[in-house]
Amino acid sequence: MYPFIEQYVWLVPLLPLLGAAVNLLAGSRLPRHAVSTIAVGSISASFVLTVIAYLHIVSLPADHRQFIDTAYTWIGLGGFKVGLSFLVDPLSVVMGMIVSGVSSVIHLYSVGYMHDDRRYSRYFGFLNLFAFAMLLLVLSDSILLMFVGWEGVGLCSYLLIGFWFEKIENARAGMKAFVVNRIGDFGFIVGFLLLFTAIGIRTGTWSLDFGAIQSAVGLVPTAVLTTVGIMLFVGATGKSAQIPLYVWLPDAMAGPTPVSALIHAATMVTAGVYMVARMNFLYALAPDALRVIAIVGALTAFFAATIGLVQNDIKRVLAYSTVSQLGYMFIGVGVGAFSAGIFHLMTHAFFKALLFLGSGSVIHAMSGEQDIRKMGGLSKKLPITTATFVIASLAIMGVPGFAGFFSKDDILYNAYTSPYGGTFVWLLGVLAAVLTGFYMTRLVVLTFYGSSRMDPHTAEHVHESPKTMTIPLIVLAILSAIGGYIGMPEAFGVRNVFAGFLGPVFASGVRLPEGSVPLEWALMGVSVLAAFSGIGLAYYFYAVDTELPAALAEKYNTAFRPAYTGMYVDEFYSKYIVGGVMGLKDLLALFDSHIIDGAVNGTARLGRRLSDFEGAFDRIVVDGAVNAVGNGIVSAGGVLRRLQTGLVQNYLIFAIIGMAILLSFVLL
Amino acid sequence: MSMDASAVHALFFYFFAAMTIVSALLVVLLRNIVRSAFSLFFTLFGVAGVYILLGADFVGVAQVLIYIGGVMILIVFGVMLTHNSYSVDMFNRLGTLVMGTVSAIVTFTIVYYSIRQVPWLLSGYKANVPTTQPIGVQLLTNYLLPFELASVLLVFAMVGAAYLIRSEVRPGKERAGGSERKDA
Amino acid sequence: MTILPITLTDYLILSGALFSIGVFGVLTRKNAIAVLMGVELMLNAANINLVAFSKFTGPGVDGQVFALFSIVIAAAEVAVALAIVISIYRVTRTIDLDKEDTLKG
Repeated sequence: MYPFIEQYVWLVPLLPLLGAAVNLLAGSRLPRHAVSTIAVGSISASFVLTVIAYLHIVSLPADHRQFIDTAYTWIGLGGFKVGLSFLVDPLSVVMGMIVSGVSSVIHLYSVGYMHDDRRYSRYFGFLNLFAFAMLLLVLSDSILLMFVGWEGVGLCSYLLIGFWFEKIENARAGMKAFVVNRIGDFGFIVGFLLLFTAIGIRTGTWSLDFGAIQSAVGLVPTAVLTTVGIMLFVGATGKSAQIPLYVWLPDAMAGPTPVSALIHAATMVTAGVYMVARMNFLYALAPDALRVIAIVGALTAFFAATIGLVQNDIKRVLAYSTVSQLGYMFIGVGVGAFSAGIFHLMTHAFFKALLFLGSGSVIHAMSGEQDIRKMGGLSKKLPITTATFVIASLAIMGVPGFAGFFSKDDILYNAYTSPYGGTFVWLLGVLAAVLTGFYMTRLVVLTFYGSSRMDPHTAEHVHESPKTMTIPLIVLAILSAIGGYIGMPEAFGVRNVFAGFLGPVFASGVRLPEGSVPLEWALMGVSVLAAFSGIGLAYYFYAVDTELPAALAEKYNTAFRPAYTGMYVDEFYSKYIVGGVMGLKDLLALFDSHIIDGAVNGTARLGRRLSDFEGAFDRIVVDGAVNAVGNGIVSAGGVLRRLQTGLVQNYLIFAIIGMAILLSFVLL
Repeated sequence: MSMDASAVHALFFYFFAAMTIVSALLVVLLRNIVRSAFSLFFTLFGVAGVYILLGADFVGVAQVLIYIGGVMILIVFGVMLTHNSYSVDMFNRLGTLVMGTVSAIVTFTIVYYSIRQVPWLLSGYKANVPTTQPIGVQLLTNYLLPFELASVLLVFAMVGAAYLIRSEVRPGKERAGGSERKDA
Repeated sequence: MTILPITLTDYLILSGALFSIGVFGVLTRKNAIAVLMGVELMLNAANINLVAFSKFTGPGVDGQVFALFSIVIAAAEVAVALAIVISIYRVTRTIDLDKEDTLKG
């Protein structure tokens, strides 16, 4: 329909990059409205271009919905080429629309939310930079380019979590996110380099393009593919906050709330899910890796939800909820139902972004208060926020008719029937659905209903947010309410439009068993029942018998306490892993102070003694033997240390000696 | 190529090669740094001659313009700006001198043997033609990006050099003007 | 006496000799600016290689273009290096490399 877009896909990531460049380099000299116009304008233009790409893709015949736009050859080494090329197919165009669309809405919201901030232009610069990196990740045609985006979003996440770096905890939270992500990235790098080598030595084509990998992946043995799949998933656990690397996400709430909504709910954390879906042709040949993903996802979904039950910070509840929902997405892609996983990714992007923006609106109104025990009764003063927040909650809990219901049901149904899933994965998913119903109802009731527990001073200032903040809320609320209807299950007697659209991308992927309508109805009934039992229980606890929770917490203190503190996972890491590293450090320090220093002294003594060899033969033999035994290996360390003369020319001599040795190997 | 032309070519080669090597040896052996710098002038000129012999007229002229006209001037300025240093001993301790000599000889031996051992795939000696036009075409087609990057690099180098040797402005104290420099 | 025609090998040996002299200068000189001159000799040796290969192998002038880039980069290098030398001189009042050993381990 719009064939020109085939040559202009590169504009989609470029526009936010330009916006970032302008705002970061010159933003502090521009007036505020110019900064926000540039930021919102550039990302909105990207969104429009993505929609055009979508319209173009749809107008093509179903099995030709794919084109590649190569803007520039980035690396060209003989046969090995990495282009700055963008792949547009149903999967990337859907992701592109989610990313640029939700980004646009959140950019707009930020205009109101960050209005009084000192570093206004820097904030929008980072936000645009993030949008650039995320769009690069989504649209790239090769793993290497995807990795560039992957690292880029990690960097922006770090920059934005620590945006208010005056408080040391915020800076620490940014650091933690960065370090934990690096651990995952290491797995990712190992994974794709292993794949690169494995394909290269078997076919002779050294390429990181998805197309080339897809056509060659069948030649690689299953064991290698399983290893690659699991290593790539290690990267995904870091980026998408799964067990065991999820610990950074709750702390990441230190950043501004729109950032939590954009990066830590809607887009960046879903990069891992997208990556697994993008590599579906690989995972189709590595069923064991898929099983690992499904089980890790299910455990995360359940485990994070239990912690979410008792958190009192509004954003931390949502953070654990995000971890839990990401677990659902990994159940989806892990059981081979890639389109179900992406479907949940999309609906989750809508309602979780909305929840975070709503919580931002609450925090804004409460002058920065985040503890839900000090809220209550806000529904009268914040009508729009309350209405939209409730819609999002209904969506996330899976109440029939709202977006989350369709996507969650799709995942749970596939978890039950898929050969990679099974009852265990499904059961954890259903239990997590009960818990989701519970913690979301608790959050809504404690925040918006019941009697006010605010201190009077704050209560005076409570006011509904400005239009730039409420319009995004309303847009997202509409999407959360109706967004699910594009992926209605077949049991309703309609075609699943969403799965049908994504179908060609996953055509080479996993074959799932044919659906059975009665079973689907039954499973749907179970998950609805699960959601409502959670909702009902929480309603009874927090709206009817309000004394009960405190009494229960008192009585079963030992059971509750771990959940308050996040199940001690952070403590475990800091004690055993960080502690281990620190212990190693102490050991090395001991080694330094006793052995290295001893060695230096030893060599010095040895040298002196050699000079007055005759006079002190006895002492040399005795002491020398002691030194030789005591400092045997380490005197080498002492000698090496002396090589560090600090003189450039000496270093150069070593370089030349090394070169001479290497070259003589070649020549002789 | 007639035998005569070949002989003339060889004579010119030996002349420029001798000029280059002898003056280069003087550069590294002379004790006075100002004399070293002037010797370097002859080395660079000899290399320019070698370029012309190789038919690279444009590179030869660029060598004269950039190296002799620019780099040499910079070095002479460097010598003058650090004037009280030319009384320091030019050479290092004996140990380093020996190591340096050995390293240089080893390097030359390795290079010499590898040049002798490799059977170079030669396409034959090309006739000398003017190269300015083909170089210009190459610079604006195949090498356009490196060409632009080189200009960016030059700007950065200029800004960087100016930044490095600017006079310090210390907050709280008097501003160091262009002429008064606190530490000079 | 007949004079043998000059071939690629002769140019390469000239370049190798110039390079080795440069190495000697860089390794043995105490004066930082003298060391820089040694670096210039090594760069020139590399350029002779580029131009010579361009002459004796293949069509086109790619080697000469590379030599030009190399000359440009050398000019930038000298400018920055001298700036560094001069700012070191300001701090330590000397450019004797034997005294610049703050990296000593």
